[in-house]
This record gives sequence, structure tokens and C-alpha cells, in this order.
Amino acid sequence: MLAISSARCLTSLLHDRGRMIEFQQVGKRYPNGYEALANVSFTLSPGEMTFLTGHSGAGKSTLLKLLMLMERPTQGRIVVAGQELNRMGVGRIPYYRRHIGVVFQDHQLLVDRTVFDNVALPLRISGFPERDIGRRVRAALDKVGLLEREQYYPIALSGGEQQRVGIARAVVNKPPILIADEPTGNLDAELSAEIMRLFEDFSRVGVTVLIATHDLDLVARFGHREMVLRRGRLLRGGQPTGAGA
Amino acid sequence: MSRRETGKEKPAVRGASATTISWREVFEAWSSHHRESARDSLRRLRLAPLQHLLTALVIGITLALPTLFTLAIDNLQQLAERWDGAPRLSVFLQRTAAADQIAAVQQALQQDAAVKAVLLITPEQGLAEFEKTADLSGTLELLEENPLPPVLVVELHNATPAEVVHQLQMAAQQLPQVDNVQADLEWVRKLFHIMQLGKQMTIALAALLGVGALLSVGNTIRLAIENRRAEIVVAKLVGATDAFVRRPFLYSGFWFGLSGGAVAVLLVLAGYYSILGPVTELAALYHSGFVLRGMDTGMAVGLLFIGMVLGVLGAWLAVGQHLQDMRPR
Repeated sequence: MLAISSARCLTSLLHDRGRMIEFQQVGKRYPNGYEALANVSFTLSPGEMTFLTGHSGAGKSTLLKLLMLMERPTQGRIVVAGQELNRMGVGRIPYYRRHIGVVFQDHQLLVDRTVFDNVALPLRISGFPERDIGRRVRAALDKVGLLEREQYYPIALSGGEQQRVGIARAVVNKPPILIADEPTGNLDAELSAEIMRLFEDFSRVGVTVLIATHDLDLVARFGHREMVLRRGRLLRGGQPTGAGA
Repeated sequence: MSRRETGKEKPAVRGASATTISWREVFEAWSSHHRESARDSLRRLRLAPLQHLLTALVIGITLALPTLFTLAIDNLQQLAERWDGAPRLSVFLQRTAAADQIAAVQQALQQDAAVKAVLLITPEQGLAEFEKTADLSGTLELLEENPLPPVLVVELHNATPAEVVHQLQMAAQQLPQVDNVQADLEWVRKLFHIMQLGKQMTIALAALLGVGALLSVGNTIRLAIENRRAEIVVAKLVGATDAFVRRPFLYSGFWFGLSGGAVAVLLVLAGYYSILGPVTELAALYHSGFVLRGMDTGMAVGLLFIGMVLGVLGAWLAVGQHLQDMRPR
């Protein structure tokens, strides 16, 4: 029997430790000398929802890329669910990524596939049996309120709907971690709030949610922990809310 | 969904589990992706038929050229082997050889099965013939003695293989009183050398063309990768392995290679039938039993196989390069 992991049990497994994501003095300097991140340290607990803010070029995207193992830090260590990313070999990266849901600003849907097939992609990649795929895809689409749109192509959907398909794809294999890069960048205030409420729902069931955004009004309105980056350094928010900034 | 007891499990992302899936289901998912990739890549080929055709042509020509050369050399060799002009050896004896010694050599040569007749040309006969053919009468009179040695002309049976001629030449060289032996079939040997050279050049040509075909397939696959860049990026971000990303492109390469191999088979067949008529007529004119050798089934299967290997390898290289670029730095 082969074990394929899913979010909830991993979350419960790590709950006692209180740390899902941990950055320890992380720095990233590019070969051209540009320092995107310096001495960044923070800890995110399971089920915690956190905003990552800062001016453009402050290092938000770099931080998310390090978390996704799209890039490697030049300093410090990153520990996710007890695993040190620095030591993770190239061959294990795909399996690691299956436990992280990502939502992009431009949602990155595949235009030549239906909503159903877009959402099913992570499951097919993870080798889920077909009998499970339909059920899981519909559960995810139901969660974002797009169950009746499964046979549509992304182009036929509105911007808000496309972003919700992107979220459905990110959560379809129930990852313990959900990260979003400017998920409301192209949406109006009302749609943005709707998306945020969705993220809140996921954090409530134990998913660690990290959202990079420059929409400060939205951040203020939802009142979750906020980490502020400026020129690659963490200005505040390195400690969990209540532990003092 | 069955939940597993997780309390004792290592806190490794990979090991945690909520759903258990049997190996059988994993294998089914894997083989289903193979089927899906094979079907999908075929569908994509039909969407871009011209590009497919051009790539298949490049592979086809690549494979057909060396094959045609090999066949041509093979046939030339066959032709040389059944050479039916009467081969001859000229055995030059030492000038001091006495008549009975000459007779002994003549006897010895006569023993060989390949020898039809051995004629003696004495120095006097030689000189007389020489005077007849070349207007040297005046010059030759200046010589005090006849400079020509006695020569035995060994006529061999028709269609004696060059190898036998060569062996006989070596054997004759060892006989007493023999000074030098020359084979009139020297050119046959030269032809063999030329054909040997041709074979080596064909191998070099095949290698060069093979590299060209690899690059061509690689280029076509690179274009396909470019068209599906978004898909690859997303797939990698949601946890696709390199093998998963590579698979559809390997199938594209496979189809390119297979159709390229088929093109090569057709080209070789076309080449064969286009010269079959004239060659047969020519052979009939010379009452030769020569039959033009074409491609056998093994060769055709080989062409399809090599085409396939080229296609898959070209795709592998192109995707590998792309995947390398996507590694985290």
C-alpha cells in the first residue's frame, strides 16, 4: 500500500509543534549582486492566516518563490512541516510541492482545458485514481461556488470566477499550506473580499494561508497577522499576533 | 476516505497520509497518463501536419541516404565478386632459369584448380613481340644481350574470386626461379579498397546526418515546449515530476521518429524500383546473372527503429534542457 498524503492529517500531525513554516535568518542574493531578501525570520502556525505586504520589489515574490522551492536561499534555513528545504534534493521537490497550494495573480489557468480539467490537473499529476478525481474536483468547485461551470472554458468566465477556479485548483488535493501572490490584484473591492473570505474558510479548517498583497485596505479590513517587507527586510510581523511585534 | 493512524509517523510531508491507494491504482494512473500522452501527442501532430511532415522528411532523408549508399556499395561488391573477365597472372622468371627449371615451375602452376592454362613466353618471343609493338628495332639492336626474362602467363578460369587470384599470386611468388608475379586483377583489389573507403564514409555521413536529425527533432520539440510553456510552468508548480512533464514530448518525438522511419523506407523503395528496370536490362545485355539487391524486412524494421530512437532521443535532449533551466537556483 502506498500512502498519499493529504492536508488534514498532516496539519493535525504538526499542530503540537505549532510551526508549519519557519524562516531562520533567510537571505537571497542574486548572482548580479542584488539582495532581494536579508535576515528574514518568522514562524507560521498551522491554520494561521497571514498577509505579506510591502512595496513592489520589497521581496514578497522572492519569499514565496523560496517557499515553493522555485529558488533557493543564499543564507539561512527554511523549515516546512519539519523538513529542511535547503537539504531537499531536486528529485523530491515535486512531492514537496504537492503539499502547497498556490494561487497566482493572473490565475495561470490553461485556456485550452475546461474548468474541470484545470482543477483536476494537480490530482492527475499526483496520480490519483480516476474514481477519486471527479469527486474531489466537484468538492473543490462546490467550495468556490462554481460547480455548475465545470464544463466551461476559462475564457468564458469573469475575472473573479477565473480566480476562484485558480483557488479550487490550489486546494483540490487538500494541501496543508496555501500561498497566494496578489490574488486580488485584478479584482474590485467586493470580489476581493469574497476571495479573502474563501481563504479565511480554509484557514479555519487548519490550512496555513500566506497571502502576498499590496492592498492595504483589504489587509486592514480583515485584520489578520501582517508581515511587512521593506527592501528585503522584515519590518514587522515576524512574531505571531499577540506575541508582540 | 479512510484515515490512518498518524500519531507515530515521522513528520515528513511525504509520509503523511489520509487516503491509501494501492500500487495497482498507482500503476493504473501511470499507464493512463502514458495512454493519454500518446493520444494527445498524436492529436497535436494532426493539428500541425506541415511541421510534422517536414520533421518526418528530415528524419526520413537522414536515414534513407546512408541506407541507399550501403545498398549501392553492397551491389558493387556483388558485381566485383562475380567479375567474369578472364583474370591472368604474369610470372616473371629469373633470366638465368634453365629450360627444365622453367618447365618445373610451369608444372607446379598447372596443379592449381583455378588455372586454365600456363603459356611460356621465352625472352626471344618477348623481344620479337616487343619489336613488333614498339618501334624500337634500332634501339634494341644496341643491346648486347636480350634484357627480357622468360615469362609464364597464367590464365585463370572465369569468375575466379579476387581472393583466390591473390592467394595464387602469393603461392607463385614462393616458387623457385620466380622473380616477380603480377596480377592483372589489381584493379579489382583497388575497387575493394575504394568500397571499403565508401563504407567508412557512409558511416561518417550517417553519424553527421544523425546529429542533424537529432537537432531537427530537438528544434521541433523546442517549439512545442514553447507553445506549452504555461502548461509546463503550472504543472511543475503543482508538483509534476520531470518524467511527467517529459512524457508527452517523448511521445511526440516517438511519432516523429516512427513516421520519419516510414518515410525512409518509402524513399529507399522508390530508389530501388527506379533503377531496377535499367539495371536488369543491362545485366541481360551482358548475359550476367546479376540481380539488384534491395532492402529486406530486417532493414525496413531497422529503419523504423532507428527513426524512433532518433525521435525519442531528440525530444529527450530538448525537454531535458528545458527542465534543467527550471531547476531552483
